[in-house]
Amino acid sequence: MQAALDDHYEQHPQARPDLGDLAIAAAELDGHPLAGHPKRLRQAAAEIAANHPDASPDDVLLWAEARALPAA
Amino acid sequence: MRLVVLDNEAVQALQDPTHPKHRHVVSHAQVVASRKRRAVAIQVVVPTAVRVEAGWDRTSPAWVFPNRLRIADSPLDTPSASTAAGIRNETGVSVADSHIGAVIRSAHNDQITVVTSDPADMRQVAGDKNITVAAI
Repeated sequence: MQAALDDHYEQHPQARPDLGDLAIAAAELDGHPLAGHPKRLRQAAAEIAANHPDASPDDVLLWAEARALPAA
Repeated sequence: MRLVVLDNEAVQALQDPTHPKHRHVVSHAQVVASRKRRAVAIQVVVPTAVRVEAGWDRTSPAWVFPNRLRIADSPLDTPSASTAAGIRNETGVSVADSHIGAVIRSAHNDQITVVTSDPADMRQVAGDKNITVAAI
């Protein structure tokens, strides 16, 4: 399945999702409460990618959740 | 196991790289692929009536990319046809959406996600089943 996607990205580079796209898709598939907040997820993806280039969509969701928590 | 069901527009968007929602649906496919690689239990299916509505001919070269994504057919067999007919009589939705409803209602999966451009119809055809709607 990944090989099919990689071939597709090679032929259609504009189809390759970025970390923000993947975090939104993961949230949507799981019915995560942040699925309705794509801007927050894209912001969290941009922040985490700056320091962790190999971050996963689930890492983004965790970071976005953490950012939403009130400071202790 | 999570079951992911595609509707007509999700299928069309997946097949056509120029479709405005292509990247969005590819993102869903990428998340599924990554999870499968990590042995997360998740399966994507397309009801065969959706495949007909979308024009997805598995023998056509135009559909090579979706064919390679291991999206299984959920066939419109005798029990599914009866359930779908009942849903169509109840709700008046399309044949394809009625088949989606039949797939949802007969699924034994504890988690079901429908990737759809019509969340309201999907909730209607799902009946009492709890579903997650990924709106595209």
